[in-house]
Amino acid sequence: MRERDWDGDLLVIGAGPGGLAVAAECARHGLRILTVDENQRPGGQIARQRFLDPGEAAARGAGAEPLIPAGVTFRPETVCHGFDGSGRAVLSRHGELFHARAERVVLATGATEKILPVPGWTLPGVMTAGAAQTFLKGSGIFPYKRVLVAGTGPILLAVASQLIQAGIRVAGVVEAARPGHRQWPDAARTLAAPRLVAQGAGYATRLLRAGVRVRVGTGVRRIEGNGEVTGVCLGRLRGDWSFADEPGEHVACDAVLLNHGFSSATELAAQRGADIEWDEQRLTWRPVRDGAFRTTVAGVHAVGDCAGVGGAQIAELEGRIAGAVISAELTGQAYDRRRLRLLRGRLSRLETFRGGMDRLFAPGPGAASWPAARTPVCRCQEVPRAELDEAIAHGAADLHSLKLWTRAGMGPCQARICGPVMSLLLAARGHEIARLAPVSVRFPVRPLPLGALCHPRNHREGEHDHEDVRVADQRLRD
Amino acid sequence: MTSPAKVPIVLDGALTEVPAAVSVAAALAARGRLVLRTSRTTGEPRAVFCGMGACHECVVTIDGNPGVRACLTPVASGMRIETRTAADGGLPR
Repeated sequence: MRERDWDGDLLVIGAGPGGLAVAAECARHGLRILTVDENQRPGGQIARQRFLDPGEAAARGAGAEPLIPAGVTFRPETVCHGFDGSGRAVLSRHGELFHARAERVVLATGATEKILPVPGWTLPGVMTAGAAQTFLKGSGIFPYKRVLVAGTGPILLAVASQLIQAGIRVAGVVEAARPGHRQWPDAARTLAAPRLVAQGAGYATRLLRAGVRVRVGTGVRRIEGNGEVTGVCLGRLRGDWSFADEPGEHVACDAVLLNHGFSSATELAAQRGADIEWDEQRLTWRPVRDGAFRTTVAGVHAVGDCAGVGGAQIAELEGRIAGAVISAELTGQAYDRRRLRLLRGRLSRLETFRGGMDRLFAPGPGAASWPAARTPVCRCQEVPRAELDEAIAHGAADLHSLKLWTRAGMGPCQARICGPVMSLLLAARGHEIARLAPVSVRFPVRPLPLGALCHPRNHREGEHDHEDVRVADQRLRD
Repeated sequence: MTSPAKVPIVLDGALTEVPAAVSVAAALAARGRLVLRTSRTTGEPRAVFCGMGACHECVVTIDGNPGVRACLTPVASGMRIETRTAADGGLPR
């Protein structure tokens, strides 16, 4: 076995609220736990911590992260590339490959922001709302001065509020949804989580005080600029989110932050062989799960945003429940039924809140008209909307054939960004998303650095390494 | 707002100083380097997009290792960072 290879009871992939809750729960029962995350610090996107200087981080040593429960091994900056035929996780850290084998695997890989493309969305200065948050929270640096925040949902208010706190001018907030009287039942559902509603009201108050205008029922028609953002053209949206035929409004800005919801990061679950289903409420693919958040693959659980985006509180509760069940099963002890009932009760109230939010801010089908014919939908392979439309017109009827036909989704992002957009375009041509096969996923789900395969430290013992090389080699030929 | 400490790096062959204890993406942004690659077909500039490792728009070569995500990687003293803003930049098709 190589030095870094790991063998134990539980492997948790992702150190956000869900993954940390599973680890904390299982650590109380003395299980041997490895938690890995791509980031330098634990916390996920929601509790993102400041970057550390690598020298300073090394001097602090292991065990210096307060978010990591005692007794849990944490490997930061570690990428999971997928699972081999025997179910071992293939991971790498700083270009060095290693394997992890565990009785149970918990996927807690979070979500990717959903972005609906509009003309100009590839310009530097256009980024996701979450990207702005990582600049601000992770590095305390934000390289733009006058920012427009557009899309849908409470994250727009949150990020605009954070920008104002950081002293950055917000040129406006543009919300596509237009709450009307028919949405009152959904609005009432959100009251199941009064603290979250109060948090949203706090953001809105800060925007009001700063004199930031919040437009509702409005979208970004196009982002303008040559090599950098100089402004946007806004337009009023109809109820189905198509643009009304009236002149647009110009707003000057040097950056545009977009967010139209979230998609679960399902690629590890799919590559491991778990069944994936379309969630009609959350508008995302997600692994099929039972009440203890087990996927359809034995020994593999999925919690939090990677299994239907519900936010940090839902992720933590799911993590607690899954952790309690895994601990009981691995130690042979009985469940604490009272505690599980309590956790499930809190989860159910939050689900009511989410149900209301999901319906209030669900993108309308008219958003399929936002990208122009020449707008790239796949940013990696640079496939314009017109090529996808043509493929659909010629019979490409699901994501897999659309991908093979146009090469959209075959770049390094592996359709994480363009997959939801392709689904929207297919739906606009009458295909029912729930009946389409999800994007197919193969090893490695993250690019495997060739350096890792050739690294001398990865070849102390040969047998399994050849397998990795063969798989990666096959992928390169594909 | 930025950390006062600075570290030296080599950016596209030139020695420069950037803020310490930030991501590579933020360090380069602080130097005014927002564009990290150019589009393969049109040569248009591209910059950080998702900021959390999903989109791979921000990949750079660090100390000879290509495809490193600048948004996830903490900047370190002495790093050699190469961006793909040359005409041959972009991703292999």
